[in-house]
Amino acid sequence: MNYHGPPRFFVFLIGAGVVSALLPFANMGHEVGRWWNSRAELTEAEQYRTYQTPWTNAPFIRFVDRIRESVPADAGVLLTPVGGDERLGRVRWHVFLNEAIYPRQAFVRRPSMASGTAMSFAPWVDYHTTLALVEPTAVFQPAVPFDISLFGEFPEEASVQEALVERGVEWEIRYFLDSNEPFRGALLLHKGKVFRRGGLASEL
Amino acid sequence: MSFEPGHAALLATAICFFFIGHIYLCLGRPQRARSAAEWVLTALMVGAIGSIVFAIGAVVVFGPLDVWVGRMIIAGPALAGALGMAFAPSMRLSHVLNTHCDGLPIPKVTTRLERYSRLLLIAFSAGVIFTASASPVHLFDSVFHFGYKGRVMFTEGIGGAAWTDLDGVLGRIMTHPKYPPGVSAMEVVPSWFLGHFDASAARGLFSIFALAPAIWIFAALRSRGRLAATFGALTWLTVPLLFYLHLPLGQTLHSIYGLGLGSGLSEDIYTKLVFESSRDPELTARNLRNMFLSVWKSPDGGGMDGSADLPLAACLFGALVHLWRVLPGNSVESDRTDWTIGTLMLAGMLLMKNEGGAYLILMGIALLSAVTITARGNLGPTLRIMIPRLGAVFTIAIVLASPWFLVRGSIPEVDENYPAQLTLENVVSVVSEPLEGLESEGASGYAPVIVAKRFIVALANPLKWNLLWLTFTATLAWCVICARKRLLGDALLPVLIVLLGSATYFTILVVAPWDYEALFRMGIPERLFIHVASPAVLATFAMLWCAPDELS
Repeated sequence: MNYHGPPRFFVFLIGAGVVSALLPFANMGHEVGRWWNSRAELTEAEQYRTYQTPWTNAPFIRFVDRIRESVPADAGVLLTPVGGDERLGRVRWHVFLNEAIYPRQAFVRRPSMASGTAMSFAPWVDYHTTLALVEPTAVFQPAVPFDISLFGEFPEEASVQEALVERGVEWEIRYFLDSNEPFRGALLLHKGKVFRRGGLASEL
Repeated sequence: MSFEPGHAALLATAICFFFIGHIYLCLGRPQRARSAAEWVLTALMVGAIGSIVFAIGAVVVFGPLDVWVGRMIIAGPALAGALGMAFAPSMRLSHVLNTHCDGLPIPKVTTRLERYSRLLLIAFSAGVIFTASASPVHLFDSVFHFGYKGRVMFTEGIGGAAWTDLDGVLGRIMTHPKYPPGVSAMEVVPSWFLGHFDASAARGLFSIFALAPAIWIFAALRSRGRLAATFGALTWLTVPLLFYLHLPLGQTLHSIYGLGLGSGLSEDIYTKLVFESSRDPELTARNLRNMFLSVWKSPDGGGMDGSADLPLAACLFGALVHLWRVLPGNSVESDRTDWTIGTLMLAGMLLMKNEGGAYLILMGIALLSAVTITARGNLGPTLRIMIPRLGAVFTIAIVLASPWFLVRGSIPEVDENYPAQLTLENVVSVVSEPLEGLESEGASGYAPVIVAKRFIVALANPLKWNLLWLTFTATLAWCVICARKRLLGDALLPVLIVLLGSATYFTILVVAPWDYEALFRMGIPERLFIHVASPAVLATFAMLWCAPDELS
């Protein structure tokens, strides 16, 4: 069957599209070269660490490894942000930890806010700061080492405690929202007592 | 690169997908011309979607499966397919492959232009396979929306506490819990072969979601000529957005581009976000430095990293192109297998993303409209034949996806609920009242204006789409103004899907209470338009290369 072809203008437009495809083609070549030079020799796990996303960078993975060593695989862990100024998606540690420490079951207060989009992250953190009765900016001094115990006891809602007991959750991670030194000064608690302190290599 | 157990699992899964797809295609009694490439890629797609449907159904009914049970339910049908291919004459490749297309031999490459364009096609196909295979799954959506659900599906099943304990004062975390588990199931299947869950084990298989639409475009346009078929497939495979979500040269190209077309995704958005997030100058400076220097902006295989937009796009196009073939009056040939493929792809669409449900409705509207418009004085008998058949196809697709929907009802709403936003009151409100606090957008503040502007900026960006949308828009405008008959032939159904899909996304983005800055930063609307990109290619080339009887 003889088909009616397009007017010349469209032939030119399609041709221009194919010519401009050289840009993604060149980019593809660049990517192959980059992979060949820097990642081809690495295992998948090693490659994973080369991506500088918050959930693949070395401090986070090191902290997760420590949690995996300390907390039994079938345990439940409460995740509690207790300070820090950042509210961007890159410090949604509860989401990242939830995936990374699985099959340990991560629990949070107000899970509907925590499971929502990045837009509900800041209100969810603010809910915690309200609970803790502290003003993070007044206490949080990024330039100097700090200790999470500055925040004192974390006043829990009675119902949260009941729910923790009901679900058998004995572990808790308290952490700050700091993307530059993640988990500096973080605490791992077991039955309310400090089990491990700090998330940096120097602290572990 | 060392050969890891994950690669063996990937290979075993791919072989199983092919043989499952092969037996499914053969059961439909294929008759029309299919090249070896079309047969293999269609079998892989059908095997993948069939396995996903079956795996989700099995896990919903029986709970998390032992890895040996999982291996058997996938390897069993695959073994049947392999034995059939070896011993049943009607299932041999030499029997099912047909070297004639629409009664004519499949055209061979002759000119230098065709040779070079075929080489480019092969090079981009290799690039797709490389991009899909070279990296472990690492992007946010891929890891947290889908990888995590895969872990849960592998260990705890679907519908337990991990999915439902998401409200109250204490509970678990699952981002977008109502997203369907299709991609997650795709990761679970090779994990059964591996023995433990690994989201990256399936990543290489994501290349089929880019390659299958390419071969379907090629096959659909093949009767229109070698160049139409090759350039059609090439137009899809050269969409840069398949290879990266963020631009390869960081913010630089985007900023230069932004200067020409106004604000969109540009540094001022990041700056504003950071300044708003903190009143501490030191912290702000540090955040800014991190944002612009970080590798977040590096190329990442946006469509092939284990996310759901490309699989949805492939299923949508698979359903569209095979149901398009069986429409009465269509100039390309079809057979019963096209019906069965279309049915399975509709079910796959429902299990990939929530948008799949919307596309099921849009597909129904578009198919009925296309049948009605192209019936040409034979409407009654045509509808009497087509409505029961299409009804059966849609019903079977819904039944196949129903195990997930039975579970979905018990999952609490914790994020977007688009249908709930689509009220008359909301529509009137966004059209008549400007949104507050949007001066920095450089727009009037009316949501429809902001979204329309963003659509134009996003779709005209050659760094993300090449010239795809420019060519589609120019062709559509030309047909509407000068050559309406070209529009009302084979091109009608894909054109309707593109327009209906775009209109739906526009309405939802306008009505839903979005933070537009954050939304645009996350690659919306680009990630939505990838769904209708391959139908746009088919529509464009079907309008441009038109059969004589379409013009009569």
